[in-house]
Amino acid sequence: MMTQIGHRSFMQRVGQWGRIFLTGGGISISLAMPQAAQAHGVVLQHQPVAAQTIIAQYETGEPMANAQITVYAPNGDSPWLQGTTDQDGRFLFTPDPAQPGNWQVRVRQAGHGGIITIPVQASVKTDNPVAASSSPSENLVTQGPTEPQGAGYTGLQKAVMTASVVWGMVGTASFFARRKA
Amino acid sequence: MYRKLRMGAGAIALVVGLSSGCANNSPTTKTDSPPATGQATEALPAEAVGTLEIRANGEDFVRQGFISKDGWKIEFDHVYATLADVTAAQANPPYEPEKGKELQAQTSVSLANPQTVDLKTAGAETVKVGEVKAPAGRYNALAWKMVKPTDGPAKGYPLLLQGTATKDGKTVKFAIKIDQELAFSCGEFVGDERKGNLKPGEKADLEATFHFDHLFGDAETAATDALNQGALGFAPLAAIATDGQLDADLGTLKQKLAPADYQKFIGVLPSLGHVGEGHCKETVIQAGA
Repeated sequence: MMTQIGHRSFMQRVGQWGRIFLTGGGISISLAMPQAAQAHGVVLQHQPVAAQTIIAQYETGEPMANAQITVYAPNGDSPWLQGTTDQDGRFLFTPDPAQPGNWQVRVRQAGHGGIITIPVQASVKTDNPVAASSSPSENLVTQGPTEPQGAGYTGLQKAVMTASVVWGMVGTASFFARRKA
Repeated sequence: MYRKLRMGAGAIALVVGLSSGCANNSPTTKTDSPPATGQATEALPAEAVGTLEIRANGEDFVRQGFISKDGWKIEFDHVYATLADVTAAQANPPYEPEKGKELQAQTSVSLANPQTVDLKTAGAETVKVGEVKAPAGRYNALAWKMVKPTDGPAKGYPLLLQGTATKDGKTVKFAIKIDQELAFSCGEFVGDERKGNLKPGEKADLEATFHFDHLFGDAETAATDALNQGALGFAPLAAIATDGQLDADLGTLKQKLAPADYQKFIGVLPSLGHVGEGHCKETVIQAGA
């Protein structure tokens, strides 16, 4: 869920007029009935995003509370995002869908650590990736492994599969034809 | 004729099944067996190759000494580790040893010969084990064995700890000779920085890290911490020293330590190997294997 609170300044309103002006046809109407741009108006929107919750625990089951989190985008050596887990060892973030591939999250605490890899596919679309929050939320969307079913077949494999179906039908037809004979 | 037709149809269906399985696993991944040193780079242009350095690290526990969980101040003179079959790999999917899946290497390079290093080398934080020319890419897995060296100061012992332990005016000079061979299979290095991203013409490194606090415990960690709960400490070893000397291999330790203490000692050994803070899959190499 995204919440955008608009607080439009005079210059923004000028910009709005400018855009209207450039579009041409609506000038007179717009001048007569300017679009309302309230000084303290709010604009609320929502977008679905594919977030990931990291759950960090020791092997004993004890949560890694306040553990250091570093998120790396695919093929990135510099941190894409840093933060800490909450008291339950959880950390929420939303990968940038414009960077598909293996995202990696490093968790460290007091000499213990690990890295988890999260594959992200390109087809997940969000306009504005949400910054990370370390607090779990009921609104979380947990994205599991994202390899689409049936993805990745080569042309040759598709051709062989098609041929096998056809051949199977021929074989079946031949079988029944033989029984009739 | 009809029978042949039916058999043919069945055979095609089987081929499709196998092809589908491969495609679902990883359509573009090619898993190679680890080549010997240099083999992976022979067919590559020079501009696609870099230098991958493998280093070993005993951490500050070895370099500076530390206080064991039971209050013994431990200072090392030497910690000899002999590494063999050191193999760095570009694994896809990234190797996560704790999940129990096999390491699938797209590209791998290995050091040619076993190498004995002293983790207590003065002035060095980490010790170079070796280096190898390697195809550029992200090396996100490291595996190695610890084997018995055939010569040198640690001859016959994959791991040899020499040093002094003191507590309450008592001093124990120790030489703990571990003749058990081990193997470690690890994922990506976990530490302050990312390691293993080798760019053409450049140098990158990977690190085999040894956590000796797992064996002796750490006074700076809570007594209830899993680390200290699982560690032997030094007191049981001090108790079997004679005239302030402890020179013991595993046979001696098995003979002199209480059975529970010996089992704890043996049980800790495979957990010594890490990649930074990252854990590994450990294997005890049986004699003759």
